Amino acid sequence: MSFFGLKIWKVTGHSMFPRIPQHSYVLASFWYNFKKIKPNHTVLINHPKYGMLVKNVAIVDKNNLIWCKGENASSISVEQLGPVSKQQVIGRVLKVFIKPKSASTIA
Amino acid sequence: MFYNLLNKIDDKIHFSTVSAHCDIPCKIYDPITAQLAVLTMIRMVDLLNEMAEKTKFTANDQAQFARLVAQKESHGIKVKEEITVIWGDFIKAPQLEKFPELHDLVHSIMLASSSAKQHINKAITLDLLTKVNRFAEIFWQCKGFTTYTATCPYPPEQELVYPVLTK
Repeated sequence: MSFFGLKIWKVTGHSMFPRIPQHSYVLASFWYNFKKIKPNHTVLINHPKYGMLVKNVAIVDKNNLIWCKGENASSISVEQLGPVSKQQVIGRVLKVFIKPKSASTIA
Repeated sequence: MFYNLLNKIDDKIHFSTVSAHCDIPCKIYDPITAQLAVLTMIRMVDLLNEMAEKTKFTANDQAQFARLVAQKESHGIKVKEEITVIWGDFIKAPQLEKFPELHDLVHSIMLASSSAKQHINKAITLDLLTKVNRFAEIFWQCKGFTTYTATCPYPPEQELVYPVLTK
């Protein structure tokens, strides 16, 4: 369900920890796709192998292909993810809602 | 506040999910590998000290000396690798809140491991073992297990922290 090109997504997985811990929610915009994608933008990509992913843009190469990365060591490497085209970028993360600290538990 | 609100909405309408996909989230972590690596270093130091008492080195002695030093080196690196994997992949905000000493402890293990590699000194390797044992103790507490200390029944017969795995 989206409103005015904005949509809330629930995040699973740890590769964006600590900025986006597992079970966080992110507010992402679709309309940002028309704007230029730059390194360090946090984007949602529709990856042919891994499905819907939230990742940071590492670089945009001279062929306008986008290489993405996670935020910690457990993330898939940039090389493993491979490049994606701009059409595969679903949106850009505008806001992250993380679980309040008091509700956290020891894993 | 927003999180709790979104969480309640999610219970009703289920937001689409997006994955922060990890490499291989195998969740298999155990500090025993690091503890055994330190024991190996201590054992290598004992054997090297025994060799130091010899007045003359034969060709075999020289080869043995090189092997012992090489093993001490490689296990020093192994200690660092095993500890950093647990520290980097398993330890997260909740564990750090509960055990704020963790960052300093891990850093001190890195330094102690380097020092144990640089010297043939039992006191330094025993200090490394103390630190790695403390790390193991914290790890098992994070996992919800109590621990006990026992002397390992093989050389170098040092005290190790073990988990009580029956809850």
